[in-house]
Amino acid sequence: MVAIFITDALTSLDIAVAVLYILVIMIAMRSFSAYGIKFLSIVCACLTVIAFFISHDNLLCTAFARCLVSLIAIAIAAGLAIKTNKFSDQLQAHLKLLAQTHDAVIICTFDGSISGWNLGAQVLYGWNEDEVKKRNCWNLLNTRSALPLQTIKDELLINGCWEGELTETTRMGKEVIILSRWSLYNDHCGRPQAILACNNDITESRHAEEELHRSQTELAHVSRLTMLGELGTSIAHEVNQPLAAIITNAEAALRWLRRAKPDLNEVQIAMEQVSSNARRASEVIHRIRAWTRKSSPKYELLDIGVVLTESLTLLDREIYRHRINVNRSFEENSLYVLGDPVQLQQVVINLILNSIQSIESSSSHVRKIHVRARQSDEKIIVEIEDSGTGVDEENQSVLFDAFFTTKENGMGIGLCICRSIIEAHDGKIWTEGKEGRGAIFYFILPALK
Amino acid sequence: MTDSFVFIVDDDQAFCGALGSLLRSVDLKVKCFSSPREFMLFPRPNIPSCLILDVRLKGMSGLEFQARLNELKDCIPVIIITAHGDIAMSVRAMRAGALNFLTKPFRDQDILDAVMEALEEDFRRRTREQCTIDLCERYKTLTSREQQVMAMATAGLMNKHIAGELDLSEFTVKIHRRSVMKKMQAKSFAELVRMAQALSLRWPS
Repeated sequence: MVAIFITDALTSLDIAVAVLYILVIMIAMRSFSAYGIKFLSIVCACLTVIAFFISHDNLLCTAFARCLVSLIAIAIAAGLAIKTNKFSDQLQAHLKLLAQTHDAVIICTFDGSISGWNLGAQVLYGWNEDEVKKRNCWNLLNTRSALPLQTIKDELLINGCWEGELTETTRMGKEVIILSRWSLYNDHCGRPQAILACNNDITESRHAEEELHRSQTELAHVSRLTMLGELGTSIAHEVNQPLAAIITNAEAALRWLRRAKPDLNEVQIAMEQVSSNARRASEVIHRIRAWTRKSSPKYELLDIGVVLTESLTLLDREIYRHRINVNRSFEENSLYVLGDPVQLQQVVINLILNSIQSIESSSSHVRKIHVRARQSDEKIIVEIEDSGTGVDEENQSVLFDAFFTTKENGMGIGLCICRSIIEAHDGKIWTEGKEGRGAIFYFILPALK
Repeated sequence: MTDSFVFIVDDDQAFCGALGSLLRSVDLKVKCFSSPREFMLFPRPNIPSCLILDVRLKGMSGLEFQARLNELKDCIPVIIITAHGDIAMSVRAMRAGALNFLTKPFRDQDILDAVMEALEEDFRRRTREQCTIDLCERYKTLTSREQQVMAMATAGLMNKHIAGELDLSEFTVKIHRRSVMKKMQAKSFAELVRMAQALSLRWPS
C-alpha cells in the first residue's frame, strides 16, 4: 500500500496507479470485517486524493479523470468485498448448522469413492474424514441389503433417489441397521457425479420393534392358551368321546367274533365305526395342534366361510352349553382372502366367546348369535351380532385398546389382539350397537379376486 | 335273561351305536335315545330293563333326569356313564340311587356286569312287586272280621284275647284263623306273619 502511495505521489505516470488499491482491498477482504473494509477503502481513497495533490499542480487535467476512475474503482471494490464477505459468512453459518445434524452424511462418487464425511458419520462409524477419503464407501462399511447394490444404483439412476434399509459394520466391528436415503447429483450434461447418502442408525428402534412384535406374539400365544384353558374341558370331551366309541366298538367287534356263530356283518359295522371315530379324534387333535402352534403368521389363500365354520365347530360345546342359538348367513367357496387361518380363527373365536359371555351376563331371554359374511366391492365384511349386553357408546372407541376390560377377571387383551391381527391383514375391526340391545362386531378384509 | 331291555340315553350317536353293538353281541335287546325326552315318550314294555344314562346331555343333564325319574317314582335301575366324572358327581349319582357309575371309556366287562346286575335287580324288584300284588289280591278276599283276626293274630295276640277283644267265642276265632290261613295260602303261621309284614298290617291299627 505504501509502495503504491509512493509510486502514485512521486511519479507522474500516465496511468491510474491508484486503481491498484483494489488489490489491497481484495487481499484484506478475507481477514477484515465489513467495517474494516469500509475503513480501509476510505484510507485508500484519502491516499489517492493526497497523492493526486502532491504529484499534480494542475487540477483540471487528464490526471484528475484518472484519479476519479481510481476512486470509483475503490468504492466498487469495497462494495463487492463487503457483499461477498456477507454471503460467505452466511454460507459458513449454514455449513456449520448442517454439520450439527446427527445424520451421517456421506458424499461419494458414483463408484463409491468417498469425498465427503460429516461429523455424524464419524460418530456413527468411528472413522474421521481424513481416514476415509478416497476409500470405497461400500467396501469400508461392508454394506449389505436385501437388494443387490447394482439394483439400488439402477433405481438411483432412474429415479434420482433411493430409500431403504442397509446393514453396515462400524470400525468397532458392530453391526448397525441403517435407514439410508440416497440422492444422485448429476452434472449439467446429466452424467452422474456424486451420491449424497443420509444415514440414520435405526438399530435400537428396530430391535425395540422386534422385541415388541415378539412380545405381542407371545401375548397372543398366552391369550390363545388362556382361551384354550377355557375350552379345555370341551376339548377333553371332544377327544374322549370318539375314543370311548372306538374302544367300545372294538370290544363289541371282538364279542361278535367270539360268538359260537360269528356275526361278520356286525363286526364290519363296528370296525367301520372304529375307523370313522379314530378319524374324528385325529381331526380334533389336528385342530388343537394348529390352534396351539406358536408360529409367525403364514399367509395363504383362505375361504372365510371355512374359517367361520371351523371356529364355530371348535366352539360347538360352548355354544350349546350356554344354550345359544347360532344363525349362519354365509356361504363357503365364495369369499376368499389372503391370510393366516389360525390367526383369523382366533379373531372369530375371540369375538364369539365375547358374545357368549355378553349373552350370559345379560338378562335378556333371547340368546342368539348371528354370524354373517358377505362381499362388498373389493372387501369382505364379517359381522358377528349378539343379543347380549351391548357396548355403550363411551366404550366403543377404547374397546380395542390394550388392558381395557369390562369383565371382572378379564385381562383386556383379547380385542386388542384381534385388532392387531386384523390390521396386520390390512383390514379393519369395529363395533356398533347400543347398550342393552346387543352388539355387532364387524371386521373387513381385502377380498382376493 | 333274553326277555329284557336295555335303554341308552346319550347324545353322542357314535357312542350310542358302539354301546348298542356291544350289548347286542351278548344277546341283549337295546334301544338308543339321544335325549331324555325321547326316552320318556317311548312306551316301555313291562319286562326287566335298565337305563344307561350319560351325564352330559343336550338340555337336561343326566343327573337332573335321574332326579326327575325319582320324583316320578320310576324305579328303572340307572347306570350313570360320563366322560369326565369327579367324586362329587359320582356321590350325587349314587345318592340318587344310581346302581353304578362308570367313566368313559370303560372296559366292556365292566359295563356288561353293571347291566347284568341292573337287570337282575330289576327282575327281583318286579318279582317282589308281583308278590305283593298277589298278596293284596288274596287279602282282599278276606272278610272284614277275618282281616281283623289276621291283624291281631300276627301281632302276637292269643286266641282268647282276640275273642275277648272282638266279643267272640274262642272257637269262632279258631274258625276265622283257619279260614285266613286257607285264603292267604299260608303254609304255616310264620309265613302268615311275613305276609302281614309285607302288607304292613298293624294292630292296633
